[in-house]
Amino acid sequence: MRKTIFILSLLLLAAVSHAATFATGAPSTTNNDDSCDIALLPAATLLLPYFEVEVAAPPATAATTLFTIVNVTQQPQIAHVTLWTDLAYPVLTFNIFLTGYDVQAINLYDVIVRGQIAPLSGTSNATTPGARSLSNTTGNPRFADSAATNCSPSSQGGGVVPALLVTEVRKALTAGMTSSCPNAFVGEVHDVAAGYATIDLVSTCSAHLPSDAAYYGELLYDNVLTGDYQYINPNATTGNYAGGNPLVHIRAIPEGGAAGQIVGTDLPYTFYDRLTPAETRRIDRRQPLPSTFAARFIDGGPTSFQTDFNIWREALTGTSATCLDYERNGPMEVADLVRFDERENPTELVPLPILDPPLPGYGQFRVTSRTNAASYVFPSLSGSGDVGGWMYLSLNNLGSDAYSVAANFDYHANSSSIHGPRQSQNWVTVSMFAEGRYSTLTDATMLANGCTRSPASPLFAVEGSTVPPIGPGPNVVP
Amino acid sequence: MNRFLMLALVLLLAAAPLTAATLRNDDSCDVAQMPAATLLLPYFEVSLGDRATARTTLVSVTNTSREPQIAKVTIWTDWGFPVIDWNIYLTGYDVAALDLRDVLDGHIVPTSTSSPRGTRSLSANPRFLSNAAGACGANGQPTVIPPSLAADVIASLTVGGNSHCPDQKIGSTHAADRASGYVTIDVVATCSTTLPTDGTYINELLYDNVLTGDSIIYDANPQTGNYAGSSPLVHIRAIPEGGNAGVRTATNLPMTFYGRYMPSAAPKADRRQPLPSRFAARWMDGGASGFNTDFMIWRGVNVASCSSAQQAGHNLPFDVVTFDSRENPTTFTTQSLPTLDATNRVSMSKMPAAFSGDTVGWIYLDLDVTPQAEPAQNWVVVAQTAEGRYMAAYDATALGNGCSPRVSKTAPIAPAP
Repeated sequence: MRKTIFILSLLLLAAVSHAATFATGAPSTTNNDDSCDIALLPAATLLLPYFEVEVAAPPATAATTLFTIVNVTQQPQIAHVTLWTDLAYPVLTFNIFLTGYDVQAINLYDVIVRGQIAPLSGTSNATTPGARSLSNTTGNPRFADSAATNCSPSSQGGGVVPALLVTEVRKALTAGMTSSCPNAFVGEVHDVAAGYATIDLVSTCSAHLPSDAAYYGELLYDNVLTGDYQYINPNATTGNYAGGNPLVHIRAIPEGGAAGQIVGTDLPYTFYDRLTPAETRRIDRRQPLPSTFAARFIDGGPTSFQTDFNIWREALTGTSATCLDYERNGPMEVADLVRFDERENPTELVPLPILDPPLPGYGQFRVTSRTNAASYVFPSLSGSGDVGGWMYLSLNNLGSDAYSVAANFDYHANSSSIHGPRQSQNWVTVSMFAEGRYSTLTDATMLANGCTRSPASPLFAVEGSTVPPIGPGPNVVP
Repeated sequence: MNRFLMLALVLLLAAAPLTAATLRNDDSCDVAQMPAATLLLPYFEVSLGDRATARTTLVSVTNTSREPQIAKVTIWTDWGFPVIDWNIYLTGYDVAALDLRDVLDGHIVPTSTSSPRGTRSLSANPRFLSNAAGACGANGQPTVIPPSLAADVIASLTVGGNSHCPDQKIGSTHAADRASGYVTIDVVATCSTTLPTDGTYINELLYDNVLTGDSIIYDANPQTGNYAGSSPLVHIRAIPEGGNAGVRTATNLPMTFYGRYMPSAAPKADRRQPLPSRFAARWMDGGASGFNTDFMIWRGVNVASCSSAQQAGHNLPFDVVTFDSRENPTTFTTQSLPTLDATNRVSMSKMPAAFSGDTVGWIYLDLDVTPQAEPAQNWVVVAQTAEGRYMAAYDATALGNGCSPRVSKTAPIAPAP
């Protein structure tokens, strides 16, 4: 017996010596899919933080957004795509059946204007797998029994969106109107169709939305998807350029397991937190997004570059939202904005005098938006004459009653989350363009991960809180 | 309790897999776009012709902290030989932009301790060495590259010639008037001319994750480009973060970014995250969209001398598989494997062709080098261009972090476990 225990001890010792987690020192893990950092690694959810489509323009000149999803495993996978208005109202969902190692591109102009998602061969389980890909029917043991039927060509609607629904989707994304909410706006009004998209790994094809409780019985946890997107503006007058960027890769942590299975996660809250069932708030296990960013800008000067910030923000509303509640997801407060010019002169948000009419949107942004960096909604340019620099964006929306947070995580005290238990999640991309031929698109740099408590706001400080200097988040969180 | 049983239980607890992640910042092997201690521009190209139409690469570096920081910039040839370095003194919250064409023309943007600072910026950084004030002062910081050195740099980056290595090439020969290579930018404690390949560099290297930056490929020539594309610099964090230069602090990283240049007694002294080996990158090559795809591929090589630069270039990738839009895989035969230098721009047309005729898909790149003891470090950026007006540049997706063990060629292609 003693010998057996000794052998067991040796075996365990061997396991420890090869372990990739560490009780002391740093990093505390070298494992994959084991941190709160958002990185460009295969993920279980992809976020297209902002899209724009010129729905009234002819195809040859219409600005559009394309995105592509790749399954980097030999198993077939199902990607569930949801389009949301810029006030976070879900307007359309569809499924992309990806055979092993499949790639599928979606042009949102095709979806929103033509009602075409993709060729049926690209969206159903009728596609013949490649030589290295596993069977569409037996290759993924995590698929629900219903997947074989629900992902078949007949159930997938031929890869076409019915005409009435296309009209409805277009109206919601351009005018904020939908027949489901006849007396309320669920999106802002603009010439283009604008919003954001989420792409989740699921176990079956369905019409469930992430705002449905049943969705969390279908969500899967394998980090196997990657993807990117492009803004293309062929109009020689308004654009004549393109920019590309990876989608935001949000990993499930810990990874794996069957749909609907409750597995503990140490993440204090998750990406879908506001929409998950009340009794299982972290069931999605998706990494939360951060709240503080550093974004570079150029506005004029010899290069004539201009900069737009595409800003995605977590909505305030939860699963009990009524139609009228979506307007709350319109201009939301931010914790702090500071513009630094090239000589490090800071300019800040300042209380504005009461104006008639008032300046709308100063220091406020809706759920997803594209705003020129020179706009008055940001701190003004310094008087130095510099046309470039960088912007500090602390985008916490001050919290919401719809948000939760895990026990033992105090995100409220000494932070700017004054309306709820935690700060909000955000993402920022930087788009620069010039001369009708140059355009670039990159993510802004996160100053901390989403598990880090947001710095207190100098504008809305909780009594007794201190506002730390701008800088990267501390190593120890929250 | 039996003491052996107790030991077994203790070990069992220690070995039990954790069910979730570290929540801390700067506490994993994942390379993420977060403030870092080293920034890598994996590939640059500069045309040396008429400036009005020359292709160039712009780099910006931002200090996200209120303390002043010193960024050591090193330019390397495409075979991984360092040819020039200089220091950027960044006041708190400073941003510096470089046009690499300016550098090749012999100009360095002047930065020094006497640069004005903003009202939120501090005047001092306690981690600076005592000589930093003088070495980074206006008198210590060159603004012009001596003509002989500038000529050497251009020769190194265009035809691989250098006066210090008269008998050996240290880079490849490019098309006329085109310089290419890669750039590293490190947080350091003083302004000096010490190179990352020097044994004493470790006495200057710092560990604060405070820098961020991006790059823009800018091609003003309507014949060859007429577009721009940008991607973030590769943000490589020091883990654990902090501490003074020259102070040895243990890291749990199995290897590090600069490990090949570290002293043998302290091979992980730089504490920089290692980069991964395997990537997934999307491609388009012709077809209705007219898009073409290039891959900018950086590979970690160990160049310690003139002769080792020759040897370091031309490594074979371990495995490359092209998937078309119908998931048909094609790969290289052993005979047709292309060699890759320390940094490269490779057209999709040089990769295994999709036999189906499909013009879109994705490519699996395992850039490991098998004879090495540790998995090789690499980075891939995808550049897609079309119609003389469209360009998109973005990082390829890593299929594991740099701490992942190497995988067998016969294993199914998949994210690292």
